[in-house]
Amino acid sequence: MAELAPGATGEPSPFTSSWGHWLDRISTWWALGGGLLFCAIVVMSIVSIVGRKLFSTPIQGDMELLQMGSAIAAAAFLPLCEVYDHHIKVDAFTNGLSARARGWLDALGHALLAVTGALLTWRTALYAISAKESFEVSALLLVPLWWPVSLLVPSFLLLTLAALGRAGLSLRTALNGGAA
Amino acid sequence: MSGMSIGLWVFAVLLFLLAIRVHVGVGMFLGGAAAFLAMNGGDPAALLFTLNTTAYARLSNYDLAVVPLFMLMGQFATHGGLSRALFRCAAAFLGHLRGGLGMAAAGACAGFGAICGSSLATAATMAQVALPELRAHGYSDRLATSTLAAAGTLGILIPPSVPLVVYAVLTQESIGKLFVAAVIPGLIATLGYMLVIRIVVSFNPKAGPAADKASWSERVKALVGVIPVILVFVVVIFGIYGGWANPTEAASIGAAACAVLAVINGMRWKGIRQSLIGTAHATAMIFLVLLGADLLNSGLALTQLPVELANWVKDSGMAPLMVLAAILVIYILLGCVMDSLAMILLTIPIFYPVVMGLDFWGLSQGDKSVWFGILALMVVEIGLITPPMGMNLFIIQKMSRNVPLMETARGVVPFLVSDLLRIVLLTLFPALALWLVSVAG
Repeated sequence: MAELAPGATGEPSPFTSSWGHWLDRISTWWALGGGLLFCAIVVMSIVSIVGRKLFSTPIQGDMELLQMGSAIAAAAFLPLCEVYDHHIKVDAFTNGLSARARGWLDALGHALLAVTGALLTWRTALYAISAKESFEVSALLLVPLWWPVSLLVPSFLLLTLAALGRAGLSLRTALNGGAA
Repeated sequence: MSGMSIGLWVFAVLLFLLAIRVHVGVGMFLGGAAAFLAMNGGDPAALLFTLNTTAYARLSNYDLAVVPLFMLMGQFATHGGLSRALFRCAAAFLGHLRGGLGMAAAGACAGFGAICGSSLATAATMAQVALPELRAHGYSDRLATSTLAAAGTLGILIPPSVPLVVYAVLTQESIGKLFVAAVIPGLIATLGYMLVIRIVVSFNPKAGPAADKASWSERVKALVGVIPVILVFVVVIFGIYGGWANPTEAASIGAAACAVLAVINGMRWKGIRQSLIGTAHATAMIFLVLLGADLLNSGLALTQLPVELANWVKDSGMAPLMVLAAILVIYILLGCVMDSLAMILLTIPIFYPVVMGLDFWGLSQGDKSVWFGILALMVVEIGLITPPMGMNLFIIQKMSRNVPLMETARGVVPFLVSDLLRIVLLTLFPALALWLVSVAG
């Protein structure tokens, strides 16, 4: 199952360069922001359900807000997971390879994630622009659709950068023969 | 090339990419993209158009918001000391039996599974609490570690369960029905594990000596400690099934309740930060695969591979039970090398239409879909405790520090036997899952 052991979050930063440290720091705060947004969603859901059950006055459009909020927050989690290389892989077949060979494969994997991230950044940004131009809004609260959509873009951009950073680290392992 | 052969090619390339360490989500994403390109004769327009909305549509799915909320709930429960209370309570009632503390650990895992949707978190947090106690009472390393690794899988067997949520989203099934259907199989699993411990210690009494008997006043006190856990479980499961809260709302309530309990038990900013970061990692791992699976499924649907495969199996006249057995064996083999959620996302779109096209015991379509969900959950869960990729084995090894992985893996064998027996039982008697659904509905 995809889950971290408690305490495993105290890992040291994988990056040694200063821009790598910045990437780590920004991704961490970005993810914490996403986590706090989820906490806000929890509070909103509870206020809404209590309001609906006791006073028949739920928060208007609570489902819409939840969908937008959780999309933004969940996307914000993606870069940090890549910085620490926790995304799910199958490594059973490659564990026997040398550190150097695994470095090459990992560099490829991270580079492909960077391509995926770049594609998502590009297309999601386009979607935000077209949603803005066509004045699409949510059904109840009339929130412009481009607001939440455009807030996904920085997450995917950061994911792309994190994947590039990890690809660089793997490449170094491949070239140094696993020494670094 | 026909759609079917494009679909098969995509699948072959995808499996190759996964085998050479490409992220599972990325491999699926690229496989899906390739299917789109191939079906449109290399024209990228349709692919790019789909990609515009892929990310937002998937991430803003209302039901999927349950996943991070359950993760958050599990993280808070882990920091809230609820695992200790559960183990104390189970030990007060069972500890005086031979192997009793091991049974208590299994029971406590089941209890923790009732508020946590993930196996690794359950194994890790219960190991933290129970492993030192088992050792202090002279349990053998093999029995102690294998009990926790196996019983940790109760984290996903007993609802709430993240893989079931994902199954529900993939198949448009009701989350509430699946959760209720998982209750009795989960209890059978717990009892099965306890029975395994009982049998192991009857062959080797030194592996699990009895502890002192607790007095009734101690028992009552220990029972009071787990009331919050029971309350959270009842609110979440019955809230969902009773229909006064949808799964997302119930998960919110559960997360808030566990957060309050954790703060009462001393969680401060550091613990909150750890919980949020832990939730972030666990959620991101799942959602990257979800994003990739979304594109892959749309791509495969274009190739018609799932439909044609289902029709082919249906028309081939193979015995339904043989087909089901083959699917379950594929799951067990895949589970040796793959994460359980990634497996569900990869295979359900293919296998689900196959199973739905066959007749099993005259079950209705709705019943069949719930039953297959529980079966799939049980088989993928076996992958967590089989080497080389058994994540629970790794976690327990990390927590125990000096017990070799193979020692735990050997100890797990009798637990695996009980898993297999349970799967056979559920295959032959779907009512084990469906009865409670029909009664509660």
